[in-house]
Amino acid sequence: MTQFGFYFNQEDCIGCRVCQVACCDRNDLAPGVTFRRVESFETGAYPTATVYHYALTCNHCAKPACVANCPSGAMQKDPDDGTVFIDYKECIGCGTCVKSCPYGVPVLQEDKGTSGKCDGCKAFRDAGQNPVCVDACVMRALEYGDIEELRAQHGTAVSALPILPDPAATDPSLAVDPKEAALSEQYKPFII
Amino acid sequence: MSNQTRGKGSITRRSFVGASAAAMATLALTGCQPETRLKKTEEEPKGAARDKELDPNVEGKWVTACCNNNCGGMCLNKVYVVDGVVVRQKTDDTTEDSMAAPQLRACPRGRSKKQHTFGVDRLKYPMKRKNWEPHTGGKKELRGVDEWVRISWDEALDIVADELKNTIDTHGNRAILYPGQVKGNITGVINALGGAVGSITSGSMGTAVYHSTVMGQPLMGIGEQNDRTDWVNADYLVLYGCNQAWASPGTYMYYFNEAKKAGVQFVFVGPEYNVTAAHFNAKWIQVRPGTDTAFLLAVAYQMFKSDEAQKGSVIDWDFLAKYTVGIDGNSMPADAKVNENFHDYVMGTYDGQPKTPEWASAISGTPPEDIVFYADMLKRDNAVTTLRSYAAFRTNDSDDANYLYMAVGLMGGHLGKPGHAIGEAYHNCAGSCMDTIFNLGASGAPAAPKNPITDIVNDPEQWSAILTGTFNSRGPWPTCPPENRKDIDTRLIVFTEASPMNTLLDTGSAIEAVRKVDFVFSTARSYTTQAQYSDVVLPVITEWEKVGDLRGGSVMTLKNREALIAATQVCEPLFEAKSDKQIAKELAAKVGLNADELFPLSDEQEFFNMLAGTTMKSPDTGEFVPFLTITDDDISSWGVEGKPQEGVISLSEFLDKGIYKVERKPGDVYTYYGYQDFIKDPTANPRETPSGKFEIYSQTKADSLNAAGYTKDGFVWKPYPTYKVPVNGYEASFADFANGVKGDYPYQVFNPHYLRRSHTQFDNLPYLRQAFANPVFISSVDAAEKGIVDGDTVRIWNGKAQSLRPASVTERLMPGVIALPHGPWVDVDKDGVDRAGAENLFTSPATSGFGVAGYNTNLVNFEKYQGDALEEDYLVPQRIPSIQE
Repeated sequence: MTQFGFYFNQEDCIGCRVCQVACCDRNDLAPGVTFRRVESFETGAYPTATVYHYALTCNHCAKPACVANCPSGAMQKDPDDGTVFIDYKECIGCGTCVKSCPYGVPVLQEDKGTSGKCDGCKAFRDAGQNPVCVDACVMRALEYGDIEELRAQHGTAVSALPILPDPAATDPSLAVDPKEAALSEQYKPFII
Repeated sequence: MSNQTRGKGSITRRSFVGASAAAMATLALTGCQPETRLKKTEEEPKGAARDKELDPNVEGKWVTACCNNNCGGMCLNKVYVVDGVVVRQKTDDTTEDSMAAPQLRACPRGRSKKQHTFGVDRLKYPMKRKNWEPHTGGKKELRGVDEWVRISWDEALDIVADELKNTIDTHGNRAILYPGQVKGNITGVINALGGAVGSITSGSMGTAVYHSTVMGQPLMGIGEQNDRTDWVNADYLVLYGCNQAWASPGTYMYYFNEAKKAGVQFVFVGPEYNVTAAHFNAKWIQVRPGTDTAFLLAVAYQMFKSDEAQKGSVIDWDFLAKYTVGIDGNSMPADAKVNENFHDYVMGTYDGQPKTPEWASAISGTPPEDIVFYADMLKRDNAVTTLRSYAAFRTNDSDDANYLYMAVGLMGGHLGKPGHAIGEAYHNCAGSCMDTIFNLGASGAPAAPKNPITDIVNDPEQWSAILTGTFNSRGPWPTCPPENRKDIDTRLIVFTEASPMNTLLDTGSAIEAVRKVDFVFSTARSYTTQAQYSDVVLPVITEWEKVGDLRGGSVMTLKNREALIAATQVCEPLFEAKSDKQIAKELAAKVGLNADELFPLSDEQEFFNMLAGTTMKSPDTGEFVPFLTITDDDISSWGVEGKPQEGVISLSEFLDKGIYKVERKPGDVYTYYGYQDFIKDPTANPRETPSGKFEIYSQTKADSLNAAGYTKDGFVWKPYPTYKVPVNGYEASFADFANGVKGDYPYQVFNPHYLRRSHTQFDNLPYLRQAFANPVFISSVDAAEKGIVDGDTVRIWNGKAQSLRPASVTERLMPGVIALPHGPWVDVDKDGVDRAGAENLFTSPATSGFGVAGYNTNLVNFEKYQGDALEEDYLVPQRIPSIQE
């Protein structure tokens, strides 16, 4: 089965959060709700410390915990491209997916009474366009497509990083070219 | 805050009187839909996004929206408009993406601008302060905390006209003040009534504002560096205090990234290893705020010493002889009055103190080996491009830093050739240069009436002038005339198109001064600090509601060198808001001026004239040619006066795309090397200095600084660069510097430009408030001493104010220095505690040298706050004034 996912060039990410804002705009998200969010981390100690950023969204896992645990059947995998999406007609807003996801991706949308998360901008892809985050990135650090093709194109990309949960749990469709600093096990979140 | 109701996104119909039904519904930005589309909406599932731009049943269009942030990004911002309401934003997809002509992708500020025009906090109609009284101000102490009364435009402009006339009749025009270089058409009307006391500021450029031209650089030091296609040719690319990732986001980081990928070694100088430095894996040269003079003197010392030891392999003496004066006793300018020189000062001949790396390190905190590295990097055989921001120059007594910054580069001969440059990467000039590609046409509108009042207040003194009644009247910007103290009795303050209370020094005194005068009025789009502290507030439209613009905003000329962007009208003016020009026109009529004479042209005619007059440097010939093809049909459909013309692209195609880009390749007709004409032939193309060369020794500088009257500690400025202990600098953080005993305010604070906003603009937008927490950045060393961890609420204070902010503890900041981001809207609670982290509450108007506004030389203390923790900023309801209708 074809499995779509995101490629993220962390080496090129400047942490500007335009992907996050563009995603909020596209999805008309209420304050406090994000389907993609950028977090920053520091490694090392003064005066040789550095900072890197991670743009987090749904990894459209091959074995998604959110789908496995959804009691209403709203959380599904697209049979054509493996994208994990919410059938909002079926979502009861119970928040089970929020608790299940090891990446902390799905969110409760109190204003809408449902969960919410990235569907890879399916409507845009159906219209022949990229997900909005991909075209928003000022550093061209995001790509979306067949994850095996993306992994082949970016031979050094990984799906495991110290800041991320063990990929064995859900088999995320994720390919990251990490910044060298992001390989350090000694990191701390940095508030921007 | 007693004067505000805190709307939290849930809006009522009553609160949107004057809005169109469609505008009202989407203004909440929380999923409300234009009422005309409700049927469609109800059919969609409750959690799903509604992609109207993909829906063939919804009539809408993409419009190029003005991105007028004062950041220099000048990116392409497009908005999808349905029934006059923006439902979605996007950025540049008009061309394929390439390094030759990259898509000019917008930053998070630009992508949030829907919330600027259509935010729930838009001001909807004119209002007056409830306890205001004519001519006296009534209860003036309530400015900032009073309630508001809705009034008509007629009443609002009657009040403004009457207050202006009364002030002029009773106290004269010198009783009116334009603080912080307020701008716009309204000041033109007041100028026609006899004017007001103006103001000047060193602003963002600090001491470089004046000293650039004195030394032989262009105005403000801007524009003479190599264009961005040359960056890959450098061995070293120095970002001196720059932070493009936060300060001027958009395409500049993408340009720089090409150099990183080509293997250029980046070097960063500053007190914080910022996100830009970290992105480029730059070598960090630590320098405390306001100590660059000491650091650069030691770099010069080290270069002299190494050159002596390595027999001319470091310094390019021939280059110095040809292009500079004053490096040593053999190259003194003809107008020199002091028989001393730079080299001998650096070596310690005059004061017995060689300016060694160890000497500088004790002041700047730079490890001596890094000073040696920097000097070694600058040797003549390396290709070095040094680009500065102005952070190091927005400091007290940094008047000699500009001469030194340039001098150490000139010593290595790094100018006017591939890979070598000494310039700036600032605002819209990062990788851009003064060799323009597009020249904008004139609007044809008559020049605004000149201000007949010649008195000008220097902005560090603008509030004390009101409070004390005395000030130093300065000459026009950017001069440095002799001290000329005068009396002043300010009665009326004008706040238009600028944010002087928040962005300029000493916000606490600003509040006090504003509460002293008889009348204050402002124009505003949302409830800014200026609006909050006014008596009458006039709601003004955003750039999106204007007919169109090529400049990126009405007051700033923000040009992207390689592209021209045409913004067009997104929607009609919302609520009762009017343009600055329309307000000025109506005010002119109220005060008995001939409004049609002052503003004879329609907005359409002015925009058309700008378009028609625009020229472009031809890629083939390098000559400027008309840019647009305009037909008779265009002219008649616009309903304007004009003549048909042939150009590079048709008017309709240009406005339809909203952008025209040139493709760049190295060596093309647009390739530019800083100072290239001067380097080619310095005799035929002299710099504008007495010697025609770069003046490391400048008699002009010494004479003007010593007469300016701002230097109060007895220090005498030399014509060559020397070290002066700065007012409120590192040394002042000690009670006893020699013995290392710290004082009451032992921490230096500087104010980084922050990605959540552009200066104060857009700090009210929810998407940005959520994405950026606006913490105070604290070194891990200092935080550990105070028991502060990430997220703790911290109280920051000095003798002037106190603020609360969440802590962001970092390993990338020099101990002893904290960073408080520039531009949040001051929010003083009933106990006098500011909850926003308004940095200018802590900035001192004590100035020195040429009279700089020293934003980055201030002192504070801080501690873990014992009271209730702050709420995250995005959870704090938006500011909406409490209004009686």
